[in-house]
Amino acid sequence: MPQPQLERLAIEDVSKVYGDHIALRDFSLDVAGGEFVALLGPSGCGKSTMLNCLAGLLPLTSGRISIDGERIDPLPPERRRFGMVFQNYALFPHLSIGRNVAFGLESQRVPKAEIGPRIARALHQVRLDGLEDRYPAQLSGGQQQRVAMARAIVLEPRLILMDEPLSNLDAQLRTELRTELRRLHQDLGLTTIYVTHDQSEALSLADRLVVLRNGRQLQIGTPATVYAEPADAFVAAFMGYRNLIPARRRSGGNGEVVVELADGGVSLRGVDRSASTGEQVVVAVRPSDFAVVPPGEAGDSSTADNSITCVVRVVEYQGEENAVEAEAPGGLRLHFRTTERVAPEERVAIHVDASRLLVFGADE
Amino acid sequence: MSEHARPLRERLAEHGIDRVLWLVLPAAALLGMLFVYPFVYGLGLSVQPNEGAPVIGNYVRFFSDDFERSTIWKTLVLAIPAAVVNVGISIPIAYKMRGPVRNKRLITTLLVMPATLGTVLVAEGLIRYFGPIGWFNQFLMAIGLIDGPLRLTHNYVGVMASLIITGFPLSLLLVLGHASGIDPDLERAAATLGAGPSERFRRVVLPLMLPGITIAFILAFVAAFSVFPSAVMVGNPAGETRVISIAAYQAAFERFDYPMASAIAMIMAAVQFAIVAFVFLLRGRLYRGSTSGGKG
Repeated sequence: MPQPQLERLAIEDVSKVYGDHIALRDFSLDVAGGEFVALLGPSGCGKSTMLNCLAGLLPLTSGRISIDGERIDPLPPERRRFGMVFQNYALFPHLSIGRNVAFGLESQRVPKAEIGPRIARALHQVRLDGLEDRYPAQLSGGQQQRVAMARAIVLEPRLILMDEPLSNLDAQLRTELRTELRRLHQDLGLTTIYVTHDQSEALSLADRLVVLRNGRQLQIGTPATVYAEPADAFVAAFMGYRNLIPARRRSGGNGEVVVELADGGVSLRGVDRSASTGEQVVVAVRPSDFAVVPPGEAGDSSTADNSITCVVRVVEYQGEENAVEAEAPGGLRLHFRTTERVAPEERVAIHVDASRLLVFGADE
Repeated sequence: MSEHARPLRERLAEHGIDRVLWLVLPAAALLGMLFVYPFVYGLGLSVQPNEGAPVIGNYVRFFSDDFERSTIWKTLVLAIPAAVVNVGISIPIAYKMRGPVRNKRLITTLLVMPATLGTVLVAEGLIRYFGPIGWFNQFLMAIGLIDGPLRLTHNYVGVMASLIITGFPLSLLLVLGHASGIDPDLERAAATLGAGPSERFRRVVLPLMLPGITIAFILAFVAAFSVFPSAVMVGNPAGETRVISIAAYQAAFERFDYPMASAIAMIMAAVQFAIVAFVFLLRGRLYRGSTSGGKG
């Protein structure tokens, strides 16, 4: 694996304020050379603001950014030696693909004799050999984004910034290009900051995730940690815990807790992930962690261990399994996935393992 | 089903010929009546000179008479610099205003206001303001910059000022309209690739603005080339600003030589056409496609 271009990128207490709107609040992050970090969150969470601050396209309100001890936040974008890939590709429409890729090399006064071979190598790395003379409008969206990547990596930047680079592509291309991105990162070892709202993209690409909401960092961790141990109900929702059920704390200790769903009636055991011991809690369960209790096995399903009885409302066939929306007592909507054949209006009991049911404080 | 079995209407529709095409009729009729017919009629008239002269007699007369022939040059030295200046001022303003700017509507309204005034009003204003006892000269004399009044009206300067005041708004609107369509991410991308502000303007923004600049230049030039009221009112219509439209006017309404006036009008059209064709030729060698960096 090639040597990364920087040892350590340090972002310290960066804030960005527009009038009375705080877009980003005390963002701090240490990135090691060669690392792939994803900033994940819904639109308006501050992830693009952070990226633009890094690129130098937005001035910071406060805080500092440094690379290997050298402050870079006062530098204009053209002097930072970063590569950036935009959601809408941002290729220069009046220049051929070759000239697009050459743009940065020409700006940085790279000798003419070197430019041609470097363009060819960059285009080869993104598998677009021989397209130098085409124009952006003649390429597909996926090809255009590959050109944008080639244009960024040809400069051998010390940091690559990607702003939702796959969002404008259709689903199949997105998966394809995602693999390509991962491969490029493995081959070149470029330190990368990647902004996305798509959790599957973040999980599959990044070495580390930063989950953001309303300009605040909610959680920093490896994809496995964030996926398995979300810090709060919001991160859980983002990581696919589609069932977020308001409930009341009944008893607990040693990390285990018993909760009663808001409508009364049902009690469930789960893992206590809340910071406080407040009574109001939110129960988080992934649709795939519910399992339908076979009717014969449980006998009276209401007594089955850690389960809820509900009425099936909507069944979506999704190939290997069905995605089901069901109604529990009190009008509660639950989502689960099952390979069993279930039909609307059918009564089923669904079971969840206590270790897969997370309990968060309601006010966090 | 064979090709011939299908109804004619269906087959015509495939080539874009259907009932919607009738909507073109009013415009086509108008164009015929107001442009094609007068042009053909004028062309015909221009080759029927009075008193049995040869067919191209009017054209020979125009080009052999120094006083008439010089009007082409007099008009060009007004129209081309006026168009260059108008478009030239528009480019930096449009560049600054292409993104979100506070009070953009107010600024645009103020800048475009002169276009609503009309040439005659502007000319009257110029006579008073720039005249020998106008405020402008009085101010310059008061601060001791000049001893006597400058001659700013009833000459080339007056007409040029009028052409700029009335022509600038249109140029700005055209250039601004085009510049606003340029994706701001392109400049940002150029910046991250190492291009400083002037390089970004030169290599990204200006090339993408050029098609708009070309159109603005052509329209500004054509408008200035047919200058008439201001050349008479704030110019020197017997001398340095005897533009070609004055020559045509005098032929038609002072000497009542309609064939000659038509010939001058034809020469006017030919000169304009030559300049426009030349500019389009230049533009054809430049990029004129999309101004965005990908799909939005």
